[in-house]
Amino acid sequence: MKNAFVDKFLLWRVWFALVVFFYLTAPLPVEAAKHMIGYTTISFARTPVWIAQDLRLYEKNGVDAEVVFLRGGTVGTQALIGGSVSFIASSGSAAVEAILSGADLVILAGYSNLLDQMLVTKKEIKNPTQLKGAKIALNSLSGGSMLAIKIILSALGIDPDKDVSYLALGDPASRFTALKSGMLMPRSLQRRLTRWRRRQVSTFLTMSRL
Amino acid sequence: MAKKAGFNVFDDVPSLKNIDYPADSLIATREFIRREPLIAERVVKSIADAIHFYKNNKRQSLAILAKYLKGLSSEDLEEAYPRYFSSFRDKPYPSVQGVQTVFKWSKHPKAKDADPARFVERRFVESLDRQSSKQ
Repeated sequence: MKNAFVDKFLLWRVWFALVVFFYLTAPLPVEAAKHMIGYTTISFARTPVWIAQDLRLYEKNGVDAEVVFLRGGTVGTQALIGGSVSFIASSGSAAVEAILSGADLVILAGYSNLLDQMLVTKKEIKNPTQLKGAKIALNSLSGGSMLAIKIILSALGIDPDKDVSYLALGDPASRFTALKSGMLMPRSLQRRLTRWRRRQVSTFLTMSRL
Repeated sequence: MAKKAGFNVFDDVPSLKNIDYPADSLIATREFIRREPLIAERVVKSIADAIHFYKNNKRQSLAILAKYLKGLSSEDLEEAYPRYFSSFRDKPYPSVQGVQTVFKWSKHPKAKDADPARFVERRFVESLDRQSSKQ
């Protein structure tokens, strides 16, 4: 009789300990609403957003979230203002312009604060002055990539508003294809070169750090 | 990647070194963070956790990236890894100086007199910072 009581008491203690253990070790409760997180370029720079998605870090931290691609900071900012996403991972420049215009946005984190975009050309182009007349391929014609290329061109002595023109071609792979094809070369060079040579020389693009 | 492929890269411009720029940011509406501060903090924490994972699990991180960056070879990914290792910040505070850089280039009439500190919200990263200091 006494043993049966002790066993029952022990069973209850084990059961209680298990309940406490699972309560303490369980992930944070996931909020009911799903939160969309937009990313505005397909480049290495969006790594943390993708890792968090693939490792279910949002869920482990108690958020039901899903990432979605939105091309360019301006599109992303509009989606944020319109309420179709809760967050965007993007360059902050489009958001800053939107805030200046009265949008109710704010930058919560800056996981890289360096201007490390690159201007890539075919190897024959060695002098920045040869950039005059070029078409420059960007992710989009607004937002962070546009501002970044303007800063870079000015540093190279090129007027970003007068000396070049721009094309929105999306991800780095598409921009490389355009670069290889010769569609970005300056008109001054186009006139002087044969069609074959044009393919060999062509010109410039900026890319978002891969 | 670009250099190996035979392209010329203008990546050594002295005046661009150390320029502060809001390159990779997490942005929300102020209305959202007023309504859902806990969600905002948890998403910021998820991003910080992902950066920690990236810096401590190279092979698995590159395997995840390969899914999203389909046009890149494993060599391309290997080459880019160290650049982002140093670029991604363990404490991802938003940059007030970076906002100032945007002001400098902006043609918006309000940019000249705007206060950059009002464009960022540091409390979520501060909260993570405090928590990690206690651990």
